[in-house]
Amino acid sequence: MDTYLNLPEEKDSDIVAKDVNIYYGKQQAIANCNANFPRHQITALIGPSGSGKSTFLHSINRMNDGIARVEGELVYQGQNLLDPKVNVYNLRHQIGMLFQKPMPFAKSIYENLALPLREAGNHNQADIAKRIDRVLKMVDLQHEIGKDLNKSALHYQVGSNSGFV
Amino acid sequence: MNRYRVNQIMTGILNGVTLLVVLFIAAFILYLLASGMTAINWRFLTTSSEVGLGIRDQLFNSLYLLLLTQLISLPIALGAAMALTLYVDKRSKFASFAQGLIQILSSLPSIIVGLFGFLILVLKFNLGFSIISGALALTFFNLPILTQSIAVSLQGVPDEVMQSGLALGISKWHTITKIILPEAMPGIWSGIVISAGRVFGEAATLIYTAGQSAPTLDYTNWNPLNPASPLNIFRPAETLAVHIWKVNTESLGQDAATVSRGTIVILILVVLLFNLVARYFSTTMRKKVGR
Repeated sequence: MDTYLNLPEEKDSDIVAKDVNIYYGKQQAIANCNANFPRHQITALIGPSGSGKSTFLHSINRMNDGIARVEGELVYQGQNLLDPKVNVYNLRHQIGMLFQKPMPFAKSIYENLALPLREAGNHNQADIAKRIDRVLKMVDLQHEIGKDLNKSALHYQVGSNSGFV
Repeated sequence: MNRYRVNQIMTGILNGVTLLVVLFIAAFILYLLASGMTAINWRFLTTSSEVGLGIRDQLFNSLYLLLLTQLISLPIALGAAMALTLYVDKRSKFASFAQGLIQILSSLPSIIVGLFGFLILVLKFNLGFSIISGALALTFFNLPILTQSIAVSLQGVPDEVMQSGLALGISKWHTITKIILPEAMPGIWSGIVISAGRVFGEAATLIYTAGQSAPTLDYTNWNPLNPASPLNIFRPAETLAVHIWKVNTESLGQDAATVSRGTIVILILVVLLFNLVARYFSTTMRKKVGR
């Protein structure tokens, strides 16, 4: 595992796409894409259905590995994310991804929030509880689901499910 | 005729056909139970077939063979199902080739599996008529059923769950073991129990592999290497289903019919029990975990 590159600690950085080409087999999905995603801003990708928005986004945290061939450079913190040596798990801890269809795991709400933290190497129960509490307050759901944290996330439909993911 | 009328008639026919099927099965099972119930008593369940015409040893042999078969098949079937649903590209040639083979294997007549086991395990590998021969032959019979049912329950977990797990930086293996497998567990258990019912009632495979003799077992002897020990896997072992077959082909006189009917009742009750447990897993348990 030592041969894999961990990304440096977070600092001011944009995500920059340089001449990105993406292919599914012989079919080209993205051609010569150059884009800049500035830090601390919300950037929207707009385009018709099937124009490759998701394909492009998948490439940023390497969800396309083994499915599509991505050429060019996606630079984040001075590091090309497409470098095969980049530790993808570490990358995905830093660059998250939400899907169109919310997909909570078949576990309790608390477990849904705690599992990714534990998988990221945090085994401090108190810290995990504190972080979950903080996140719930951040999205203002602590009153609505604060008592139901041990109930299954699948049976709980809040206004926006994405709060869990 | 207007379409409302047609709809009414067709609904009526379909309900009638369903009712007919249910009635046939219910009548069949009730007849077998009613005719065999009188044969069942404590002595029947607790004596050996040689001493008291009981089925104690056959019952134990059936359960022991089932346990061994599942112990051998489960890791293989689970691995194959995981590979086919979560690892191998479903559209690849290998996947369709493997799936085709599994389907062929699942429709293989069990007598063929039995003769295969006889030639390869009993004769070639010199295992003789033994529990281990029977368990290995039953594994061939069981593998396709178990693999398919586990694969179906793994497919029941949406693909997006894997995507979500990966997107959170969880490795593929941990996404499978910590998220997908727990969600698929009720389905997997139900598959194991259903296949257990099939294995438990299997006779043709065992006639030529585990043999048709049931040496009286000594339940105080737990040394697996002693021929009289129930745990010995190299002793021949007649199961309930084989016992029914043997009693009916090699009649023992007037008791034969009673013994056969009683054994049938026990076999049916155990298989029914397995099916009820499977239903519990696929309904109650799934409601608790599933989506």
